Amino acid sequence: MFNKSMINHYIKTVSTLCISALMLFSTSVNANTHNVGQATTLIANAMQASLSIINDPALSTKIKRQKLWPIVTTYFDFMLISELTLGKFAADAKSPLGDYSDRRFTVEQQARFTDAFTIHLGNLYLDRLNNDSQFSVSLTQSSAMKPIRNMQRARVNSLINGKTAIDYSLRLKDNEWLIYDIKVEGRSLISSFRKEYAALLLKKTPDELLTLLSDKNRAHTENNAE
Amino acid sequence: MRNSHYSSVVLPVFLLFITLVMGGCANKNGNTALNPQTQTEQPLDTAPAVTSEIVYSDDDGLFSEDDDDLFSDDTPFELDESAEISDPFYYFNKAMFHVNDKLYFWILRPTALGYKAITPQFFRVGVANFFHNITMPIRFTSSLLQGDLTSSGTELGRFVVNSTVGILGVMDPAENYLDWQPNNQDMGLTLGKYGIANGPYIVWPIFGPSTLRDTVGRSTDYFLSPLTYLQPDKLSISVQAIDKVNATYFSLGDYEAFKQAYIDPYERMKEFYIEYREKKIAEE
Repeated sequence: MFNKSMINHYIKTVSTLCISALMLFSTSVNANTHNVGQATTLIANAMQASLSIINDPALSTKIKRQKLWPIVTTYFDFMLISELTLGKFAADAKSPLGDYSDRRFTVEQQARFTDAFTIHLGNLYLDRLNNDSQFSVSLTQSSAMKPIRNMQRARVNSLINGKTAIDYSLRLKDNEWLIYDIKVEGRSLISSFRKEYAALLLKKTPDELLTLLSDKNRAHTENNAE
Repeated sequence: MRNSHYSSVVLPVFLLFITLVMGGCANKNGNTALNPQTQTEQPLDTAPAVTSEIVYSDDDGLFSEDDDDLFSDDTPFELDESAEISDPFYYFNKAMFHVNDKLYFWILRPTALGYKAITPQFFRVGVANFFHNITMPIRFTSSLLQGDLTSSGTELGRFVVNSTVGILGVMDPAENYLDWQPNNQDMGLTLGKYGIANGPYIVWPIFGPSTLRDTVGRSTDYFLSPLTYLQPDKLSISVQAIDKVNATYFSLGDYEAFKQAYIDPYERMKEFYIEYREKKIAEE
């Protein structure tokens, strides 16, 4: 049935396939861990960049706000944050909304929501700049999360003041890692807002929610006008 | 408003925003204290061994399993009434929420800011330690009734050490040198651990969010607190007012951040309060 050369060829072919598969797998694992390392580096860089501004005694709060804003927009994926926050009400979601089908956001409404929500989140953070508390932070662990929609994801855990757990969720987008959620002591930023907006959207239309959010941003601007 | 609860409710929200950019820190000298390579408690970026499958960490639960739709499922959207918090006194509660809001912005916050201006930090920490120490009977009794002899023993030990070596509880050598950690148990949590449900949500003027169960618990705490028995009554009220103002200093800005964060802060406060208490009850 099988002559020696056939057996040799067979063994050679199988060996080649096995080695190739192993190499391919090793490459994917290495790429994966390498990418998680990149995600960790991104968080470390975000911290360093922020601290260099926050700890600069020569800068006023107003200047600090101006300098920090580009960092916020650089490291955070506000489009995904907005999409996840809207959840089933997001423009691309396909789950049936039953009696609330008119509450689904249009693409245009979601774009407006992303803009308003980005400003809202930025304000919430930057308002704390005049706080004179001192913080210490250490990165404790980083790990890969299961890819979804062919999207690589990672989590980076950190500790503030040695006791408060802060976990960052990141995703790889166009070869760049971006933060899409923060969990403080297990409480997710997105989940908190998703819950609030889902409850509001049972009573209000997307346009009404957008108005409420814009009003909040406007009131904030007026309250902080010098 | 109950400061210990209140701070715990709003602190995570505040921290969410404080960490939006600044996962970073400053040490007392203003130097960066971040060094991921040297400060890791567990190895960062640990490379998994080449095995038959990659081990992923627990998911964050924000995505559905479906690759095509983030939120795909076949069930039409419906109201989940099982998660509704009982709020039969809604109109009273909402009115009290606004009363407390005004109390905070018109009286408590300005007083705490004035207090901050005229007192040094070590003094404020000492006052907080003193009040925490003197209310030991609440935590001791609660731990005891929960069958947690270790915690009740620790509370008793902390009280003895801090009242003597710690100069009437102004300092906390029990934690700083003996690593005897305080707990924050109260009778409301004790009732919860006995399996008694929240009952309706109630917002009290000054004391803030509560439930029927926690109100009963708080009433018991009132009788367990030595501050209640100070005479004359005016002295008792004045001393508790100082405690309130001092505690407010430590949470300045938290309520403002919370209120700014949400479109409907009343509903969020209710939800956060219930979640926080449930989490405390679930703790071993």
